Amino acid sequence: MTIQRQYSLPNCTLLLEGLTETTTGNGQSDGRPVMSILVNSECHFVGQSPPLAGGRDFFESLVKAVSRYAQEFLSGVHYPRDLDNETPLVQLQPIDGSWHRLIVYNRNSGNLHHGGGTATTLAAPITMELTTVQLFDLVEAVDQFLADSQTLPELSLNLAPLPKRYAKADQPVVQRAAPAILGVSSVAVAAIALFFFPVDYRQVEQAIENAQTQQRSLTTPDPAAPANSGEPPLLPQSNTGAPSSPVSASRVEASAIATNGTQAPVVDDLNQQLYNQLNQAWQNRAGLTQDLEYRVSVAPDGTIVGYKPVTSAAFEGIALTPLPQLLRPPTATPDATSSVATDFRVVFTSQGMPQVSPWTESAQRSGVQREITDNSTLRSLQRQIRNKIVQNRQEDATFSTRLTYRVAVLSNGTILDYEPLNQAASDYVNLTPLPQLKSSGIPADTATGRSKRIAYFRVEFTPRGVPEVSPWRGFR
Amino acid sequence: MNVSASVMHLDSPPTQPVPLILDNLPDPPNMEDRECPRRARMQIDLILLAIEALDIGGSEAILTVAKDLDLQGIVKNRVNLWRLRSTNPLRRYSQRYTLSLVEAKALVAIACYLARRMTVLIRQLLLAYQQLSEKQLSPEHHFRLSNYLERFRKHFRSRMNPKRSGVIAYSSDEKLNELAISLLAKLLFCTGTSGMKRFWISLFEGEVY
Repeated sequence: MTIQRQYSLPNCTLLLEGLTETTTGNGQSDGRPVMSILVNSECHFVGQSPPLAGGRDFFESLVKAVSRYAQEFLSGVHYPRDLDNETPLVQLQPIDGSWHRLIVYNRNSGNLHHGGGTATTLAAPITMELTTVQLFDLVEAVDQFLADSQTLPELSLNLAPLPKRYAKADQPVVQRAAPAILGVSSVAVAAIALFFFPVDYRQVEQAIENAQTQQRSLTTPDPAAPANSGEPPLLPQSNTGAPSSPVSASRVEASAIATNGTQAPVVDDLNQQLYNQLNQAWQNRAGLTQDLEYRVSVAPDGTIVGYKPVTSAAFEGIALTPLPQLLRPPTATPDATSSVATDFRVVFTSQGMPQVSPWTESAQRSGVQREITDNSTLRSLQRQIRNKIVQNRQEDATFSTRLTYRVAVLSNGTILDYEPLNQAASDYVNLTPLPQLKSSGIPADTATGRSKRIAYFRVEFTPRGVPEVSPWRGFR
Repeated sequence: MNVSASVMHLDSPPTQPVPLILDNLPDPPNMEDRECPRRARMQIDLILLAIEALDIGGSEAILTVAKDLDLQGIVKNRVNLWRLRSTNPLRRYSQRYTLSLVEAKALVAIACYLARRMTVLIRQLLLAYQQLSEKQLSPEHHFRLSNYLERFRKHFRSRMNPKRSGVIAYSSDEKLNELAISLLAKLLFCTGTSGMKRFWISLFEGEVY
């Protein structure tokens, strides 16, 4: 007696014919016998006239394929084919869109329906295209069978998730790694490209120094501001290899202090610079009959910003000196200039030597002229000076008041310079022997007049004409 | 926040036994202590989204079915339901909570139960879509289908974080329609005899060792 079991869905009907093993009825309380042997199975689809049919092999393959394909459809994760040992009789494949292809192979063994071949090789497979709803009906029919414990109970729903090692990623590995590879490679290419760009290290150092200079110049007080125009331009003649910006910064600081008291090394620098300027520029040295003395104002960067003749001869002979061509009048206000310019005494000797020395008393006091302070030297110089003056003074010189001079004397006794300290002294200076003592005693080898040590003496002429000589600062 | 999630996790086993309906859903192997994988959280939330788009009363129906199925101990209330669903990494305010296996099972059970109630509607819509695409017509020609698609698009856009790459892939209407139809098909499978189990197992494909 064959048993028929049917599982009907709107689109698909599964029909099973089989036999039961137990021949006797004992042990079976319910009316439905257990079908344990499958003889024939058919799968009818609505609209497809010849049904798919086959024996146990076909049916088992169908169940297995359908169940697995349903999981594939739900998860989107594809089962790899190599899990099967042999080519399955029934296969399901997705078609793009919402269609599914059912392929049924026919083998020689087992029941064949129409159109089968006689060879042992596989015949042409039957292909069917199913919609999603049709597919679902097929899956549902199979599930209902599997749930039926009275039909082929050994076949039941056996589901397990696919292990990770069989599942492939959604995107291929290359596609996923592409952005990372692109990023790393572009960094590498950029690094190589920039490696070949030459770096100008000098410019880098210059930039660093400029930054430091600007930092330092920001800290100087305001009076220095008008005269500081960043990188001060140096005259070509005066360029004695003067150091670059860091020294100019210190010069700016020094000139700010120059208003109160000149700093020694700065005035030294300017002194040297001015001498060099005059020495190089003074072309025609033969035309001098006497010494021409000027008071010259020098800006912190060494340019001559102004000059004033001290004597009338100097005024007349200005054209014989290089001062007019070296003059660079400042564009700033006179107040600003006078506050930062340093004055120098410039003497163009008749021997053709320019002499430069600082004008102000304070510059001299700060040790530019390296004053002699040794008592014994001062005493001997004092005697020398007095003797000279006494020897050279005019017999009938009388004055209404005392004449007071400050006299600069070198260590060898020559009178370098004198300065009247009161009005009468300047009026009657020609009645004193000082002018002739000075003019005859100037050493020719010192250009600036300051490399030898200098002593200062106060020389006073009493109304009776008696000279009194004493050290300027007294004996220490 | 993490503290509260773990506290809740400890609370549920002792206070209430796992409902019978969830016994049908086996724990995936080697996954008893782990949380739900990313894809699973995404799929569950999207399935529920499709259900809400199918039926206007869908959001309320979820809570009602939870009560009917005796799953209230897990789902609790509307806010908690939102929190469970927000474990979907595509959500705007995606929570850093984990979704436990029990909670995931509850949501799957609810979804399948609701899907089964709407079996006829789901089949109708899928058939309509099939016919329209055969005739190369747009889905707008079917009223209920276009309704479903429009509601799905609206819900998706309002709830999902537009900055996520997974959401940017669905930036156009066509892509969202495709997603809606594929979810509709999955819902159809959920209505089957073994639909719940099949859907549950499919969440862990390729995620287990």
